[in-house]
Amino acid sequence: MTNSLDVVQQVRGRPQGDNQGSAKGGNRMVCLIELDGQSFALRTSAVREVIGNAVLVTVPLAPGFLAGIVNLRGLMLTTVSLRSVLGLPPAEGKNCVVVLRADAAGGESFGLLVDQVVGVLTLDDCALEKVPSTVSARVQDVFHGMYVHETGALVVLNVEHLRADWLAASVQSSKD
Amino acid sequence: MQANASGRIQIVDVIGQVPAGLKERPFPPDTWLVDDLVKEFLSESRDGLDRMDLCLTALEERPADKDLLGEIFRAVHTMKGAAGFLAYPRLEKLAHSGETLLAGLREHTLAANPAMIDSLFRLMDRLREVIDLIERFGREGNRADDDDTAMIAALEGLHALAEDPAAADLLESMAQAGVEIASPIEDGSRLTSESDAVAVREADASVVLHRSRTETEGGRDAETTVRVDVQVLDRMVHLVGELVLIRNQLLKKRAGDGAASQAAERLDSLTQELRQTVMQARMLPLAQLFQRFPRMVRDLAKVCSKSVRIEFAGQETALDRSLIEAIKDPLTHTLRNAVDHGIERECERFTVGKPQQGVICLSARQQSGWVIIEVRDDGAGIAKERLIARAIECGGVSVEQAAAMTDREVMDLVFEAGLSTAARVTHISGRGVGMDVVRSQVERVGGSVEVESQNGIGTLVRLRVPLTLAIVPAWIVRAGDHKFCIPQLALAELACVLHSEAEQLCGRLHEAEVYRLRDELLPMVSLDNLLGLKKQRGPLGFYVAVVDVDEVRFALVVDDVIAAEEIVVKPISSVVRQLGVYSGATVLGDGDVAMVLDMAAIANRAGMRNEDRRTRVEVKNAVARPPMMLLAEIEAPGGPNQRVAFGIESIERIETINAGSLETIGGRLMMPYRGQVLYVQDAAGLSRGASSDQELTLLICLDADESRCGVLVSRVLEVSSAFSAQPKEADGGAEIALLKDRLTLMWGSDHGRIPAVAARRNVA
Repeated sequence: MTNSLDVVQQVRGRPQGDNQGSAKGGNRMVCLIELDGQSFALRTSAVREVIGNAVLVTVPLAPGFLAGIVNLRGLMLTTVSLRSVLGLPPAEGKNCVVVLRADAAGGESFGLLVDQVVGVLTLDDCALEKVPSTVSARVQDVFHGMYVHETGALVVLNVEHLRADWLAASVQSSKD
Repeated sequence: MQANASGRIQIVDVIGQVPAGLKERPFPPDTWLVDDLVKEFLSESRDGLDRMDLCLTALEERPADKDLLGEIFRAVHTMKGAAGFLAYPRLEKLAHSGETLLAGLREHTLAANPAMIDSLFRLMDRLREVIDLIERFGREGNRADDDDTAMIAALEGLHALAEDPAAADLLESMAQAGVEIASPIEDGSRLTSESDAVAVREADASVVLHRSRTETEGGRDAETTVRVDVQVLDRMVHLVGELVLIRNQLLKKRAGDGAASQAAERLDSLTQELRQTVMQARMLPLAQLFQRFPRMVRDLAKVCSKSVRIEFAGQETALDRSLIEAIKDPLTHTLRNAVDHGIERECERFTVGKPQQGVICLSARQQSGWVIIEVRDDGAGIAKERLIARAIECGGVSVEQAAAMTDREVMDLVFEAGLSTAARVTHISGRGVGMDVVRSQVERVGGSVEVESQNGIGTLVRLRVPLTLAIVPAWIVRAGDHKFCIPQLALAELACVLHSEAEQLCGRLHEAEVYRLRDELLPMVSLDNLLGLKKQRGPLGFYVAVVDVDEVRFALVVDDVIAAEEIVVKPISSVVRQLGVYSGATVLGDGDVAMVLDMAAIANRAGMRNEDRRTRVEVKNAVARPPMMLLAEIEAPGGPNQRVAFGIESIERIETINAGSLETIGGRLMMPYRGQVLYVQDAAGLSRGASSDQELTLLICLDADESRCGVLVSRVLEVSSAFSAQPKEADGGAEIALLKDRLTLMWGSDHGRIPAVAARRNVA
């Protein structure tokens, strides 16, 4: 928690990310999530709601990245485990499911299992940098870009590439 | 936005900034009303036109049917009125000309001739075009080719013709209706404004007459149905889902307080009923879709100069409305194929000795979580040799491959893109872009298509569509620590196998496990193994579900059977569906989510082969199924136990109740249930001496006269159809049968009560 708040302070402290926003790039609001002590960001426009301590029903035979199904008021929400996508061990204790909107391209609404949601930040779009190519290929796809601050980088996730069908296709293609 | 405040609140805040509902509404509030009216008018008119098509097709066969004429007339008239009200003069005029002709026919009880029916059909098409224009552009269209005078003139010409021979009748009927009589119209193609006015008045009079008639005949269904926006229904489904969850939480916390507990019970049953009602509201009978086909088949048959009749079965089968929409195109395509390529010309049919009129049978039924729609024609069928030859010609398969193909694989070639065996290409079909599109469309909603054909005898196209959102009775089973649902329609039997019997009933043939069901050996699959779950067998034994699906019969081993429940199959994401095990998911009564098993897919996954299917067909058809019975055990405290069998159709629910909710009044045991008094039978005194929070199993049974009663049993054993002896009448009207080598009391709905005498154990 302290770690995430540090990130918040540091990113906000940067000169580009001031409260007045920048005229050329515009601001981007991101939802800050925490995973295994690290922080990641999701653009808020993709987030529909957040469910704390969701009851996940595991699906036997499902691929590893599927954490299970969450009953969201009668909607069977397929939920992807971010830990599993990033190759981290499963979390114990509390969890949090971020419900992501259905996209215009026909992708269904889905859930993303994270450790916790920390808050919302307004960031300057111009400060978004590319992820270095040294990051492993499997993770490269789900990283959209990053904001660099004094002690590290805040990675913005690519929501489209966290969709279960996309992940399934990429697992399939890596097998072939 | 402050970053150091609580994260949760901020996110809610962000969402709150996007006004969810407002953005999607294209019109400011004051234009909604008009817009809604037009929308309603358009959809009502479409319905009306569909109905008219159906009636006109029927009218062709029975040209003098007054009811049919009346129905068409009413629909046209309604449309005319609404079009006038909403200021669509073109529609109004068109409808009016049709109405005039129909009124003429109706008043003189005159038979409609083919020319009239044809022009009425053309009128329907024109009306439909105008309605499409209104929907797309908001206007009726006034381009040069939108001129209706020719059509109106033609209709009026027919009207004049119709009037002539029955002028006397007309005068009489008009006099009765109190209509002022003007000079009869001589030349229908040139109408004066005066005669036009007469026609209007005449039509109005007939409407009034007609109205009074329908009212005395008893209201039509128009008064008992309401149009509801689908989005509203969807929202209701979601809200009911939330209600169920709240109810579940309440039920868990109710212990202790008696009054609160009763209120919770009542809420429970109300929620259940509300949920079912809402779900039913989303379902439409397939008749809605089927009713558009007679017209289509008629038109196609005319174009192809063939004689074709269409028959329906299972029109009442209900399907979620979104799915009805999804199968509309594939089904239309299949029917086109059947008329154009399937059915032969009359002369060809005559030479091979078939009746001259071809028959297409469209049937629908529900089967194990699916709706099966079959299009069967008695036409020429698909010549397998031609199909293979075409496939080789197109380079789809090699000669060697073709030789090794099974019949089923050959038939699957039909779905290859670009392959058509039609000798001639017509504008209706035959370009080879048919069946592959049908298949992809059906597969998009998670269904499948199969073709069976016998050369010279006919073709059968079978569409399997999942029952998404449909309510299906299912059994909740447990494998490992997971709950699953098995749709009851797939189940032939559900048997409890005690550990002591296991060795006798389950065996091995080499690698494969088999289950002995009476004198049949069935392939046995364990759900735990199949899904990679850890076995957790109960202390007494395990359960075997005998599954009948796709003409395969196999035994599925589960660790436990939890309950029977009516479930709502909810769609799951394609990633999960593609695993080939689940057809959906459902929320159980206790709020848990359980996956619904797709039995056909499981049979495939477990390696059941086609040969099994073929042999089973005959067996299954040859043996009529004995009635399904639910077997329960009643164990008197400290006494003997007896088995009781209930007809499965007489069991409404299996409830678990607290002994405290039972009351004895006037020597009879009863309890409140769904707002009524439920009499409870307790032959063995299970409730006597039970503490008030002890759980008891109560079967809610339906009598022959649909009244409910409860029967307390110790446990539910299985569902089975295994009779080894005919029921015998014993003392006191009770029937005893031999079921699974045990004497079993048959619970009859007519005598209803279980005698306190325990059936003696059969020491065999």
